[in-house]
Amino acid sequence: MTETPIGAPAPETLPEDLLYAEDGHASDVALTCLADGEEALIPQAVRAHVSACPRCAGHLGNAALLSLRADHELRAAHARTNGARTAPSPARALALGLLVAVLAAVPRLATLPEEVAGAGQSLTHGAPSFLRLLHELGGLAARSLDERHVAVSLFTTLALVACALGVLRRATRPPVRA
Amino acid sequence: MLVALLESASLLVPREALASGDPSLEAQVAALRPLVRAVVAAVLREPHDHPDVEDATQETLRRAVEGRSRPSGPVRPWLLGVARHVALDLLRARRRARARQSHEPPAPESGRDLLVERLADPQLGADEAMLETERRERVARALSRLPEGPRRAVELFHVEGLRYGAIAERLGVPLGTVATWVTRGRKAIADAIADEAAAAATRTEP
Repeated sequence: MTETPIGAPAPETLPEDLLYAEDGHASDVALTCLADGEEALIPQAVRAHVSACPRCAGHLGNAALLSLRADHELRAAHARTNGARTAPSPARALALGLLVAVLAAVPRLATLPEEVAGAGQSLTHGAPSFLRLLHELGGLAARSLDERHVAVSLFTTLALVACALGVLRRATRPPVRA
Repeated sequence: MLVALLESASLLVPREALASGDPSLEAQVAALRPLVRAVVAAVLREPHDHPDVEDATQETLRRAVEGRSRPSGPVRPWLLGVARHVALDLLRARRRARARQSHEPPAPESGRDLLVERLADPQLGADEAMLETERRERVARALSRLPEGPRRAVELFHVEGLRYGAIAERLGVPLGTVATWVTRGRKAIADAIADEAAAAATRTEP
């Protein structure tokens, strides 16, 4: 056993009244300290008693088991609480998806008035022109594949799909277990 | 090192290993040998000088030092967990041996046996999800009924892994108060588990 060097402050131990129970055995507080690995707080005399006394040694084992069990329970509870606090937030992912969709529409804004005007004129031609309008729209879609912003559209589409997969994954994640 | 480990038989923790700050796993395991022995004795419900307790203690230390598993956090809970499993294995082997010898079904367990088993093996009955949920709610209720001090003390110790000294500094109270609060919080958890064990014993009664 190491001795305290002369002049060094004595290590702090628990007050005397907390160390022993009324029956002369080690108190629950002392046994809890030992079970928690806080031996330094318990004077040598008490540790010697626990070492020699079968009853206190048995209680020390139970205190250590209880410490382990409490560790298990509280960590599990903490993990559950944390899991609930960081619960999936589909709203955030959906907002991100919406933002991406808006960005995807930006390249089309320049030509949008013309397209709308063209579509409006076509509509005014009435039913006979309806087939021609469909044909025009088909042609417009085909031409858009060759335009520069196709890469942006493709990227944003992929981003939207990734967002959707993220939402799905979070929504179907099993509850946290300790 | 293992031989030296197994030769030490005192219940007193060799403080040199802890105080010197020796980071080696072997030294920390050696320092915790008395606690390992106490846990094994509690699980086996035998006196700490019983031969089976000594065997299980040695087996625990051997596994800790020679085994592949290594603690990812503090050594104490990890090592005591190993001790608990070794002792439970021995306990089950004893029961099987008794059942083979007597050709009789094992005697029904008392409420205290169930409590010790519940304390010893938190995985027991893990397949019974409803009971597990019920137990955790019971523990949570017990903790929520505690005053702020004891509740914070057990949370800081178990969840944040602080030592008593650090908890005392954090909460601005003396060490003795922290020790008392932790003991009080722990007792609330024990009572909640004891209620569960009593309920289980009632359910198993014919």
